[in-house]
Amino acid sequence: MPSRLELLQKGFVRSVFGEADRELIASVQGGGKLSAADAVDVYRGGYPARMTEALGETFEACWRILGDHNLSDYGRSFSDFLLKRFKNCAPFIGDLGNLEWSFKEIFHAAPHAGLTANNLSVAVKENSILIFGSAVQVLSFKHSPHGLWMRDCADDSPLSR
Amino acid sequence: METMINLPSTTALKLNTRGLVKLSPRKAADAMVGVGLRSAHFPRLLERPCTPVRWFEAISENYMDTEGRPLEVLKRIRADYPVALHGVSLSIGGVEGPRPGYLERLKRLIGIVEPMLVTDHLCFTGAHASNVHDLLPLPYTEEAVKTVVANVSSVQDFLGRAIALENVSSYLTYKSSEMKEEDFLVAIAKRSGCKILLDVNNVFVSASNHGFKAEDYIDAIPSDLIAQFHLGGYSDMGTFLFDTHSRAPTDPVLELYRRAIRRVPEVPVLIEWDEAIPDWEALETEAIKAIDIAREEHALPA
Repeated sequence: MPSRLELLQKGFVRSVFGEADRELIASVQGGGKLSAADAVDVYRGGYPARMTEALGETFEACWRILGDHNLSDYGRSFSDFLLKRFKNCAPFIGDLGNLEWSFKEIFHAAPHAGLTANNLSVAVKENSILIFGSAVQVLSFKHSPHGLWMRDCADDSPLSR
Repeated sequence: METMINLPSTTALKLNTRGLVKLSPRKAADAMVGVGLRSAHFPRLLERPCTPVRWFEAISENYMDTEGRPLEVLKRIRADYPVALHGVSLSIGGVEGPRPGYLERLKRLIGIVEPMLVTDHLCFTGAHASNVHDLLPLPYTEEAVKTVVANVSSVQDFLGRAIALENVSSYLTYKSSEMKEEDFLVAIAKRSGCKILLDVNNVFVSASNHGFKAEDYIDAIPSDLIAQFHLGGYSDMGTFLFDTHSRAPTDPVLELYRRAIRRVPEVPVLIEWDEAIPDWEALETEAIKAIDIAREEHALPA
């Protein structure tokens, strides 16, 4: 059974990477004039800032020209790099990277209402052309990264090859 | 404007804008003030300037995975000066302990640099599989003390030397805490045999954020446990103080340092500046301030 300290630390890490953990917020007091949620947000906001900064240290000139807002998009070709670097020991890694990048794009895409199955069958006529919204993508992979990705979402222990 | 420059041995020079020179002998009891080794200053440092700076601190992680120019510069600096290795990813408070492989790489770097001190932060930085690259605060509980003490013991056994842990700035406190931060820090040092890197700026930031008296914190740290001081600058965000290391140490922080250095004149002091890094001369100016304060506290004529 996890200790109190372990639970607290896992909750904190989850809060930095995703949505702020409610139990964590309930267990802390904000410093200064910060509410507990605002104080947790200080740590949540620090992560992307440090990642951008780390990337910016490598791509310093690009960073200066483009500014902060574009820097996170440089991750688009990261899965190509991963595949090139690790294709012998982990040939699926490129597909896993592409899935994660697609998830990021979908996650940040504007939401839109889709057609239900019933509406779809009524609306679609012969020769209809269907256009996906920006938050929908059809993905195909050489390997099967979905299971790995799902496991990573559910469990923060290291994934084995 | 005057700039003080020291020869590596015992003589200091003061140059003013007209190029006049007057001697100012280094006092035997001068504070041992150092600065962070940053790549922006590499070209200047490789000219081997005369400087009042007496040692350098290198961020361990910046040199663990390189065999290129950073390590080459570090070796050349080390040939002339003492160097301390300061880590940011040990995660000494993590329930999983340090990440696999981290200590091996640190030990290899220690073998190359032969540092005067090896330090890191009293915090956790995530889990093995998910490093958040931040200094996350611990609850001040007996459970956390035991976790840190066990981790410190195994780290010190592996490295074959004592380490020093730095108090971090924090923006929240845990309702579950059972003791004051300074008592937590001292308990860990006493039980594990590690030393304390007392970051005076962090004490000020946390005291301001959480409403305790910074002077009481400083006074509660036993002199024999203090291995080093850090002096940095914070940013006032309006609703809280943020430890940004983006400016010179502020006057209240220097006053706290004055209080601390009075007790332990021999302890090395570091000017810590990581964001908006100034030119070398501006950094030296801050080092001179720290030396002057120590001189004043020990009644040494300037």
